[in-house]
Amino acid sequence: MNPTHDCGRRIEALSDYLDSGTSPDAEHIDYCPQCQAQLAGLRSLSAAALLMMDDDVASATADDTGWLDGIMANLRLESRAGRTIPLRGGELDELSETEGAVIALVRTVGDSLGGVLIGRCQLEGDVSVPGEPVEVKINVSARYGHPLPELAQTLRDAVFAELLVETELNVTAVHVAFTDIRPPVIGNGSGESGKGRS
Amino acid sequence: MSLEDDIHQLVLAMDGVATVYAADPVWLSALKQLGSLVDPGSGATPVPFVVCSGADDGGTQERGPGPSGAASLGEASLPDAASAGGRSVMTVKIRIGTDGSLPAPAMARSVAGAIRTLVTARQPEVPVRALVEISAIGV
Repeated sequence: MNPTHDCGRRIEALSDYLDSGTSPDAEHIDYCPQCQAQLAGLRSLSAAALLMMDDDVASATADDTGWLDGIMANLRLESRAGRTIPLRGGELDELSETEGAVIALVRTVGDSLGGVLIGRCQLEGDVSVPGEPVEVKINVSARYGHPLPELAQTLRDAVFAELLVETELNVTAVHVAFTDIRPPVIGNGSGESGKGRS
Repeated sequence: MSLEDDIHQLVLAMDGVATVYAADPVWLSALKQLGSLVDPGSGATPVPFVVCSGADDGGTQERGPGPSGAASLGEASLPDAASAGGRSVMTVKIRIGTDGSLPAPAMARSVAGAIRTLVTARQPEVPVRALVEISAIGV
C-alpha cells in the first residue's frame, strides 16, 4: 500500500462526473477512496451552493466567494490519503486508518450539524505514533444567525465523540475557528438544519 | 474462485463494510497495466481488490488475480513478512470503507480475523499477516 499517494484525478473531472453521472474514468472513480472523498465534499459544496443561489448570491461581492475557493482548495489537499494512523491489532497484522479518512469523517460530522460548513481541517501531532497527543484544528464557515459559542461547542462535542469511536487517536483538543460568516437564508431557510436566532 | 476472490467476497459480506477499494495505488495499477501490454498474449490486468503475497513465492512477489503474471511488478513484500519462526508468512493486503454501523478500529480487527480464519482453513501451516487499511469511514 502507498497511503500517501494521491491518485491525481482533477477536481474538475470529478465535478463533471458528479454532474453527468458518466465518465470514461468511472471504474477508477467508483473504487478510489480519494475520489470518493472528493465526491462527498463536492456534494456538500453543491448543497451549500444551491442554498446560496436561493439567497441570490449571484449579486455577492468577490469577497463573498473567498470561502468557496478556500473550501475547494482544501478539499483537494485533504482528500488525499495523508499519513497512516496505526490501529491495534494482532502481532503479525498491520491495521491502519488513513489521515484522509479521519479528516473526511470530521468534515461529514461538521457538515451534518447544520449552520456550518467545514473548511480547512488538520490533525496536529504525530498521528503515526499510538498515544501521542493530537489536536484537531477546524476552520468553519457559519451561517449568520447561529450563536457561535454554542455552535463551536456542539461541533467540538460531535467531533470528539466521533473520533473517540472511530479512531484510536489520543485527541487532546478540538480547536474551532470561525473564518467566514455566510449571509442568512432568506425565507424559511429550508435545506439547512440547526437552530438560528432569526 | 481464487483465494483473493474469496477474501474479497468474504470481506464485502461482512457487517460494517461498505466497500472494498482497489488494493493498489493508481501508479501501481498503471505499472501492472503496462506490464500486461508488454506481455503479448495477455489481456488487460483486472483491478486487484485483494493482494496476497509471500508463503508460496518466497515473500518476494505479489500474487495478483490477473492472467498475465504482471502483478509481480507490484510492491515487494515487506522483508519482515517473509517468515515467522522460520515459516513462510502470507501477507494479505486490503483497503476497505466502513458504513459507520461499527467502529472502524473494531472493523479492521474483525476483517483481519476473518481473513486469517479463511486462509488458515485452506493453508493451516501458513501464518497470515493481514494488512488492513481503513480508507473511508462512514457515519
